[in-house]
Amino acid sequence: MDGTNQALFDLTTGMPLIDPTTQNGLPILTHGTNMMGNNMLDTTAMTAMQTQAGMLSVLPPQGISADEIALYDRQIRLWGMKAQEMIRNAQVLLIGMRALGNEIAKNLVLAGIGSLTILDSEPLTFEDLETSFLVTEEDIGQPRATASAIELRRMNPRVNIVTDTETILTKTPDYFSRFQIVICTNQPFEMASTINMSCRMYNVKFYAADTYGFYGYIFADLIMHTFTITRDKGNMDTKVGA
Amino acid sequence: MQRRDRGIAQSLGLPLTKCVKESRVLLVGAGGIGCEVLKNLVCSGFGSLPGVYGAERRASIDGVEQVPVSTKKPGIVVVDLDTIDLSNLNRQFLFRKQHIKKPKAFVAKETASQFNPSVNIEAHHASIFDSQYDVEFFESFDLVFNALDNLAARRHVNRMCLAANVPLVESGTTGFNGQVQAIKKGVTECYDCNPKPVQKSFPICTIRSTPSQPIHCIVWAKSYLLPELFGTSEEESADVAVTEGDNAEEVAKLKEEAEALKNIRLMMGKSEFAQHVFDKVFHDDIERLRSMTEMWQSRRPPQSLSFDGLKADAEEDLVKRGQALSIQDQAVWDVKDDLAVFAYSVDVLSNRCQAGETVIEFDKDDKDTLDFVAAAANIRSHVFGIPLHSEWEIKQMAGNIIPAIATSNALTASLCVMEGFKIMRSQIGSSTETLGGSKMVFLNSRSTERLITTQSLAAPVPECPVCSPLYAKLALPASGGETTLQDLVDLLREKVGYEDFSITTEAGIIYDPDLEDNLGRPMEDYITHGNKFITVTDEGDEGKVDLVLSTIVRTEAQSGLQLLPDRITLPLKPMKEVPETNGHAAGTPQPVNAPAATSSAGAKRKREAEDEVESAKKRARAGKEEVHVVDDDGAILLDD
Repeated sequence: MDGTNQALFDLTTGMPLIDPTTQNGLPILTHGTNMMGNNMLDTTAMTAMQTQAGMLSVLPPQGISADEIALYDRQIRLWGMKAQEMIRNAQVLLIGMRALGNEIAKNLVLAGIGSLTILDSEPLTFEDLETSFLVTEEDIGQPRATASAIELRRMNPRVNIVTDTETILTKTPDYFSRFQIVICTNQPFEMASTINMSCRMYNVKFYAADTYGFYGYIFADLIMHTFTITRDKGNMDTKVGA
Repeated sequence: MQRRDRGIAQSLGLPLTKCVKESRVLLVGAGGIGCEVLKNLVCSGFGSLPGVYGAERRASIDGVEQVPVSTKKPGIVVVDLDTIDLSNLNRQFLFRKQHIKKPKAFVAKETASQFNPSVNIEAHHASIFDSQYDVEFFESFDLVFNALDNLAARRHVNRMCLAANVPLVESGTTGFNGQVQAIKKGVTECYDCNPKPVQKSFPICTIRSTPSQPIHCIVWAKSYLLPELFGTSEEESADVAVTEGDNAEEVAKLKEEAEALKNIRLMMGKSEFAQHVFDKVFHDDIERLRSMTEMWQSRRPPQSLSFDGLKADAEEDLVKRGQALSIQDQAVWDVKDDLAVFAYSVDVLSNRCQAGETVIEFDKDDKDTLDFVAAAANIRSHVFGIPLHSEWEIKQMAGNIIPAIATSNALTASLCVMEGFKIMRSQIGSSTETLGGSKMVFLNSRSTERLITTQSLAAPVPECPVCSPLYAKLALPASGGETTLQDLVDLLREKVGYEDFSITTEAGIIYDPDLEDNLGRPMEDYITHGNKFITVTDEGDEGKVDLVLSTIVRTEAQSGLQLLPDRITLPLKPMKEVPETNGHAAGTPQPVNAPAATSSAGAKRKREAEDEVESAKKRARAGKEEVHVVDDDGAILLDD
């Protein structure tokens, strides 16, 4: 992976962020078995933060039940039991519930995260229906967040779906501290940037994304993230980075 | 103005959007990829307009029926033979817990219909191999999407789409990765142009005598021990094959062992049954192997076990203990635990056998067979010094479970529909690129470079036996019985201009210049289902491509057989490069069959020479020699 053009930048100074141990640019997350990396769920740090913020909404890490193993069987076989436990305890904030939000929410809920908070103050419009498969015509006029939560809960009752229909403009930085990951969709640059700042203050990982017809982007600021790519050892020597 | 399709209209433009809305597409499979593709198709508006549809009109030229001229009825047709299982729910998001055991196709239609009320979805709970899905069925579609999970079905749909000349979007996912590929006859490679890896089969000696990996022990338990005791022992397993490397003497000994096991099977029902089986396969057979010292010169020899020795001082009821252990499928049982589960599962399976179940086969979802295979495989692993595994892990190896997640399927399905747009754009002529610029697309999440990469679609492989033939239809009268093979032979001579040719069905050759026995038989004998093919191979000198006929049955009155289209001109086979040998001009490509001499003066000599060529070719076909005919005075040179 090329660290140079995919490195993270400090939004305030514009300077690339350097991993102090390796002196390399911090890499952007790609898929790997340690998708949720070691840093993600440092429970002692989390509990400290929670106490600081005065919120104790984090679920204690639990073993996965037999029922859950049966439901998540095919994905546990891919990323392992430990990763599934981490997913199960994840608290995620999703901002925006239009086309992109529908897809992201579906994928997160199917994976079985701990809780998904949907922040969207807008009402559902007729035109939203084209791509919002979580809602129907009857929901027009209702807030997008609450309308889509119904189907998401049916899709996976084990996930705690929380809806917030307040406008994002009133959210203070500490609002974001209760999450481990914030996914910010359909926001203009300034707003996304401000949210990124707030997340950084509380060591919360941040994604921004949007779509425009056939085009789209994903931006990731994971602050510090390490992961391992494991490969089966073949008979032939493999060059590192090949 | 409020528009529900604003997004798609802005992205695709109005002409392509209209084409999408009027289209009729087939989705084969409503599983991981299928659910996501269906969602994408419905939200994009495929088949959501009434379109120009009316009663089918058939043009008639000189009183002969032509291909129906009707336009297709817009809609999405979903075909899936499966029912919903709990383990599907982590990714097949159209299904909920209350839908478990219901047919996927029906539930998928029900849920997806809510995404767009204008869409027309038709759901079939059936196998795509069923005869009702004949070439005319496939011809009724503008586009076919494969969302399958097995090779056989993919190859079948590939062939049907080639026969119907309908573009196919093929796709697959494994774990984090996925792939999408468009297939169109004459334009791109078909699914069979490149050989696909076959199911792995292990040499019999590895399984029966010298295992070195857990999978060898699992295959032993699943494909040897379980069938020998509880199934039809004569059945040949696809997992195990006698290969050239196997010692013939050893293979014979193994057969003896299997015979002895059959005798022990007679003891089923008696309390010592499990013990006898155990001591036979884990003690006696192992001791016999140990005696073949040459086998263990460079390998660790197996250590035999005895039932009583292993049971030792365990006081509790072994079967009861085994039953309790079998629930803990995540734990790695030690060999004593495996003994208990072995005893328990033998007991359960014996009861089932004696209650009337004549054949019990391994099924990863049949817990009793899974318990048996896990326990037996682990004990054998212990004997051979191979690490043991939990039942959960063994289930994956024994059951060929492919790990699967929602996101790979979601991404791959999007890529499928994107390629679908490109193909449709080429169909309405709004693209100058081949197939609308469609590419082969790879999703590779482990890659250190791009997540999604593309590759140009390759041209068809000229010698591909599946896509190089010319496909046509053979219409049979509904009454049947009156038309014979002779009628087909006459028809082919008249309409296609064949002279010497052979006719083959899936069962084998039914006619060639030397085989005329079947000419009097009714065509009915050869056509039992709507989606089988008849292949006509040209035996003449010019080397024409094969003609593959799909049979259709006419419901209206029709006298005799009919070819559709009525007249067929077969193109020639592509030139094959001839390898350099003695006696040939270096590097000159020659046609596979020799060009016919045209002078009438030498006609008789030519016929004699041709006869020799024919018999040489027949010998060549039998003996697999290369035959190159040099057109001078009729001499034949054979390659060594």
